[in-house]
Amino acid sequence: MKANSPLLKSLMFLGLTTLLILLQLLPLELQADALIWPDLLFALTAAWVLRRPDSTPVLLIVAIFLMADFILSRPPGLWCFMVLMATEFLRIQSRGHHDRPFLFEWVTFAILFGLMLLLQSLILSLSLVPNPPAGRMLFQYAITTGLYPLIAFTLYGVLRIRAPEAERGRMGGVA
Amino acid sequence: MATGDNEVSAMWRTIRRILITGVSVFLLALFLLWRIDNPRVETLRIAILDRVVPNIEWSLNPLTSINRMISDYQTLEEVYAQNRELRRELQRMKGWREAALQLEEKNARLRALNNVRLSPRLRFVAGEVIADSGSPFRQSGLLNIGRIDGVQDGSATVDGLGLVGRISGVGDTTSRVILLTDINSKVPSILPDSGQRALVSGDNTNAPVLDFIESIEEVRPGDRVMTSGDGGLFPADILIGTVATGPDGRLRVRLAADYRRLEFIRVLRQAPSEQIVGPGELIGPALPGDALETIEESRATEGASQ
Repeated sequence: MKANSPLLKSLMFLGLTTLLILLQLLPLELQADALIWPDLLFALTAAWVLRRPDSTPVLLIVAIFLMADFILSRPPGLWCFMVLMATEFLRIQSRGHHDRPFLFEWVTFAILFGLMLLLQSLILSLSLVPNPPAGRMLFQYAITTGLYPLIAFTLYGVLRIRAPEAERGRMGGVA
Repeated sequence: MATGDNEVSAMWRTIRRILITGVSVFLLALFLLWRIDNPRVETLRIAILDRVVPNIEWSLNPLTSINRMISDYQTLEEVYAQNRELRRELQRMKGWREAALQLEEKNARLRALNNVRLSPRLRFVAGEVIADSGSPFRQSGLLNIGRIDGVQDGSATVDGLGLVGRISGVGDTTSRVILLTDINSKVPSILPDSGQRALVSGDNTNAPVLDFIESIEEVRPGDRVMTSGDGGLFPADILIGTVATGPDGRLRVRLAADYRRLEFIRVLRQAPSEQIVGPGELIGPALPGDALETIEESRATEGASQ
């Protein structure tokens, strides 16, 4: 039963997100048109919150994303705020999550992520901060959304982050 | 029992809601504060980086070196061709070296004739790039040298070949360099071949745009672009790159610095140039009042020394 305790899963979540931030920090891509990384950090968080909201407390998410904002030289607080709102929404969604098909989850993520990016660029342009180029942002949106099923599969299959109902019912599918 | 549970969970939910609202307000306030009082929050940011990055450097290093090994292996195949090319180039360079030596000698002779006083030479500290910005929309890197090593905000950084960027944010042992390709980077520059002045402004592509050129017709692709030293931030006459026409028809700069292999970066430590303040004064013997003062002063110092 120990492997199922929320605390252990929280620790796992913290470890994974830290690793992701580290990977993004690697000085591999100093060229301007280098590869664009998908926003794995948010995708992972979204998929995790949908499956195991109990192991991702609000304060942990806020701490991780605020740190990421500071370290990854983003406007501090803004993206963290978006993620907070999004995860709260997903937390409510997570209740009936297991009964819905995966496609529904994917579309939810796509719409949510798109809204977040739009709102972010709206706020940035309202406060006269130069916005990143739209093309690159669109590309990042596309690959992040495209990679989302992979992340969900990894969480479900490899890391065994599943909704409690799925554990109990031993049902198939990426719920 | 059931009602008690309900009450507890209702209270918990209320507390949770208040907490979330509080955190949201805090985050938005932080963003606003960043927007209004940018330097203070950026100081906080660099302090955090200063604390965090040296601690994770040990984990960054192996991954970085593995990546470099892979890319080095890929270039191994090109080594033979490169070797031949290098040898050819070396032959040509030998000729240049001879010419340079002769010129240097001649230069020294002429200087001696002229009794020229040169400006104090630029000194530099070299640092290693330990991390990049981590975001595809910001072009910057973290260096492993900081205030302790004498890095100052706004210093120019070069690699062996040309200008790389500007220091923005200095911690005790780390500092951030904003690359020329970042959208926040604007460098006043001069094109010595045509005498035009321009602004090299980054736009997240590998070749920054040349803005504010007076007469574009006089600029030709291939012209050199140097820093002009306007604004007093950068020293003058550091090579930035050469002019090239982008696919969109705008004039861009092909950077001289090798951005693919930014490993070691030099931060220039410029001695602050003396400012000339105020107009010249009257030339003549000291005025009576001043003369009295100086005599009294000299007496006082004599008295003190005895």
